[in-house]
Amino acid sequence: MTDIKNIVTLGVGLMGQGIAQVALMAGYNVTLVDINEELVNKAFTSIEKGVKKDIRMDELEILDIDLSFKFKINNNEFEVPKLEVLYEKCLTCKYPNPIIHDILLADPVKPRGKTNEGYEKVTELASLNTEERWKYWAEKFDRCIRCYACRNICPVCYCKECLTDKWEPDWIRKSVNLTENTMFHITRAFHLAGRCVSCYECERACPVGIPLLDLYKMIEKEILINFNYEAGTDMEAKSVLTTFNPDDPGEFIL
Amino acid sequence: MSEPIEVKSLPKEQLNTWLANLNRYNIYGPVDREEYTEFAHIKDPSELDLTIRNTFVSPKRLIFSQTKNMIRYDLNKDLPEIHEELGKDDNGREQLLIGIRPCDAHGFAYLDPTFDAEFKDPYYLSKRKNTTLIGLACNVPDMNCFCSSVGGGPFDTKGLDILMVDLGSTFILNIYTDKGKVLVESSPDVFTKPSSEQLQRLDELQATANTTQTRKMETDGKPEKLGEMFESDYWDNISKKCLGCGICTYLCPTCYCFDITDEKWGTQGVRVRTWDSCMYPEYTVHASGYNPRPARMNRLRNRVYHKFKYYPELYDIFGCTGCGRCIRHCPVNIDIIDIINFI
Repeated sequence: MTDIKNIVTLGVGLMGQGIAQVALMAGYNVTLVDINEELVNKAFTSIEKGVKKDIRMDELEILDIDLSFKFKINNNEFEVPKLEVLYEKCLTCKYPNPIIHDILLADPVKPRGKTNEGYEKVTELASLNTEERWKYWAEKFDRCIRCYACRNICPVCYCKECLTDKWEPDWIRKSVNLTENTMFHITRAFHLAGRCVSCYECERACPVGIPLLDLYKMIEKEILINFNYEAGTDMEAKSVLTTFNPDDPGEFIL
Repeated sequence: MSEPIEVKSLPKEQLNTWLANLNRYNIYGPVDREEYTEFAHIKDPSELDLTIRNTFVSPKRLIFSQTKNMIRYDLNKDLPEIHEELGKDDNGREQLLIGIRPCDAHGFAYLDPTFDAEFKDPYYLSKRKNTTLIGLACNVPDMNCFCSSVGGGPFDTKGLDILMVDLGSTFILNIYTDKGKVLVESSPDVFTKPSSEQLQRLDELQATANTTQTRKMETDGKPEKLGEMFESDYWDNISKKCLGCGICTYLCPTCYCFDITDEKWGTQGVRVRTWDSCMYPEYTVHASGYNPRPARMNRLRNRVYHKFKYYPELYDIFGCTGCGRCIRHCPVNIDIIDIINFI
């Protein structure tokens, strides 16, 4: 919840207005959306009035109940489904409690909402034929502006000099086009194999909405199935792709 | 809003007819791509979505391309061959940007003095000359918009050939240039004379838009203030969370820095011009390895100084149009309004 700064209310009738006002007074930026512009203006005025009544913050109570948040304010209750206000990554997070820690502040929390592994989408993508999959990715890679926010926000990217910044040889050219962008994203996906911890920060940071985890999750799934390895969950485990085990699956290995 | 040379009314159901008559242009407009919006080539008018406010990436890229081939060469000949690439990407067709928001059009008014100075930049200027801009006023500005604070406004017309205002079932078109006039003259049947009620409604919408823009940037005296605080700890503090990515500069309608590289395949190659970002360390690193802007603090400070001190001192215009993209899309919530208001 702490990551959320902005809330959009779709439909600003009586209910929507209430939700907007509660969210506004809890310190969020609120945007009102309705198909009718006049309703938006009306809602704006009435929320302004409501806020001016100076309801104090300590009269607001937010309860975390299973699949939704409940707001209590002046004996009024509003319920907001978590699906609407939380990031997908928070809903599918398998490890909401730090696995490796010295001291855990506060009590451990339960995984929120859905507890699946988040492989539905990649399984669906993998079921498409090559042409369909390429169409999906070509449209996404084409819009990349190579701002490198995905790389810079990544907690596991550690290279002192990224290969995208190398001039000689220029593995990835400066031209921003489908070929070079694809090269960048495929290279990054392979470099993250066995390293990506599914924090989804790259996807959150991406200013052009590229679903990067659709790439990384696919590799993560393969590694889990073939090597029973999950990055970041065991301090003692050796990095899966930099170690050799004679029992590793794959007949092509001598 | 300045005085138009002509005012027309366009019923919304006539928009597609009008656009069909403009088929000699490459038409670009806002398109919804599911959780992503962009200024894209409109092949069918149904793709156009004029309810989209600022697209993720500014339409700056349609005049100042992110990647532009300059020359193509082949050294594997008796005499090395060099081919000029200027103008090869638009087949000589003029382009039309429909639904561009006032802040983005303002961006071109900002870029012009840079590319049309002592050195005339043929790549930018040929595109600029070949482009007609049909703006769309923002009846309801986004919550992070602040164009009114930096010399613009939700109904501002700087850089525009036509400004459209959405009245619900009709667009009112204010025409400002001869380029704009040509577009309207192509389809005399689709336009009508606006009624006085419509014009009154337009004024009301403009007044509402101005008051609903709640975020304000205090710019008075800021270039001078910046001059006194180059060494302040402030820059260190605010840049601690900066990722050093290129989002703020690449989405910006006024950033114009570029890099020139030769991309080679054996004896053949292309000299290519690509956007560059002052937020990257490579931007200033010398061949010796020395970097005069070694830390993110130096780079973030430079971005602020360029937009709010150096550029206004040179051209008397802020290097910011208040489009809000750098605020909306910064993954770590660095907020240019907060930065300027604080100092």
